[in-house]
Amino acid sequence: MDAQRNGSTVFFSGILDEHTTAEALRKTMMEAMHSVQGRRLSLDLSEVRRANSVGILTWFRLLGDLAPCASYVNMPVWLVEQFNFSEGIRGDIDIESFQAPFYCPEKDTHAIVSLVVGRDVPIQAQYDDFEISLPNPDGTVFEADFEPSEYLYFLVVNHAKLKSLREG
Amino acid sequence: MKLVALLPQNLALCETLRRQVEGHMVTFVACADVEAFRREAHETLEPLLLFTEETELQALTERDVHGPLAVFVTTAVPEFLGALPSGTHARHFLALRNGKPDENELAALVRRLVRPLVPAMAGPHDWLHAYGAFSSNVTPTLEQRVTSLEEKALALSRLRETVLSPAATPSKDVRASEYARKAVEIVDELILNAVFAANPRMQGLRRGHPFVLPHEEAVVVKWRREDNFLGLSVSDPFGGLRFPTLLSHLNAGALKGDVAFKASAGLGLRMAFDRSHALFVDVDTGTRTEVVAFLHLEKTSREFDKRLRSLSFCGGEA
Repeated sequence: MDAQRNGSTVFFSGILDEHTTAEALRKTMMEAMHSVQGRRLSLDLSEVRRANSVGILTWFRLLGDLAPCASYVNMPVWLVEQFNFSEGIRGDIDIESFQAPFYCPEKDTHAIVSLVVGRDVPIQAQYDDFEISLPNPDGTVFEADFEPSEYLYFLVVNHAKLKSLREG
Repeated sequence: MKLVALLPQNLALCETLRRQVEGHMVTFVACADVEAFRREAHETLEPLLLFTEETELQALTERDVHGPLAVFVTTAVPEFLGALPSGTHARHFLALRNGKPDENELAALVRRLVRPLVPAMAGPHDWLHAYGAFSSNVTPTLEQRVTSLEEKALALSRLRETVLSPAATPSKDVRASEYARKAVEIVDELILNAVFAANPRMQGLRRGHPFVLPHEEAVVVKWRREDNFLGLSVSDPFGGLRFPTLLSHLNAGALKGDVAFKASAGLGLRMAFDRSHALFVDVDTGTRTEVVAFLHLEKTSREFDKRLRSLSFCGGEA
């Protein structure tokens, strides 16, 4: 996995696996943390195609060591899935936006769409009755191709964690 | 041998099981309650293979069951494993969807459990053939031996191509890409476990360590796709995986707490389980461990995620 900084955002690309070393990412992350001078850093992993357990542990441990004040932007589906079955988001890291699968039954088409937390998806205590759909210009509709109560669970957990962290 | 169905609440399931053993030289017996099963177990000299439901499991004691015990579950397997009665012989957990098991999974498991007890079925069990959806032999099983990081990358690349190949439109490419990712993630984890956890020479090495394995330690990756069914198999020549280890990694409590401090092997097994619909672990102790994953490549992600998962641990006896 490669990392490149652009302003306050670090863009990652490639595959997060055993070839990813913490040393390679640490330098870019530290430069980015230094440059934002206390403001929130954005972490964009949308160009990371997939990860394995070795890479995920490397990533989580790096974030644990550096403890950045950061936000995930365009969080990819694989990372959402990861956070939904493990308690992986450590420290003061929130979620600004994340990707989710959508499906249009009329046209039998699929799409991965980035959703902004607070605008497209409000923070809620649970998402059992949550519904979201995206209209197409031709009048057809993309339906959420995920079970909201399960796919959005990571938002519930992370919000509770941040609330507890900030309330001290 | 006898296959005993202790499924008093589900006669349709009894019938499904009875059909599965037809032609396998297996006697089928349906018991109306636990007492009837105890009498059957007491009176028969033949090996017994018991299929029951989770509601009946609590009433069965360690002393009641001596042969393989399969449980049809409607609870998610990690939660079910977390509440498994101590000392139970249950090793096979087949998900029921709308009261029915997946007949492909059931066919593969019954054939595997029956095989050692039926002389006519001698020889190794081919999971990618026994799974019902693959029995037509229309598509070949593909294979890649892995003895190095380069061969691991090649296996994952070839597998990805297999899953992507039938995608006809750009839209379906999105879905195919997601399924290809899941398949690659499953096999990646299983190879890592086969190389760095199963192989005694490699245990303790960092998982990113470059490796070159001798031929006899090669990991064998097989996969097969037919229509919307995908089967994945990864085997090592060591046969060291134990049921308690599997249980400790896959039960609902295994990932509580900070995942950064978890072992990669456990996280990897859980990732493989979560991304597949059925995970079969087949251990010939000291000789071979094969982990097989089956996926239904559903039309939507929602349908894919909705299916309850099945888990089975075969063999592994000392």
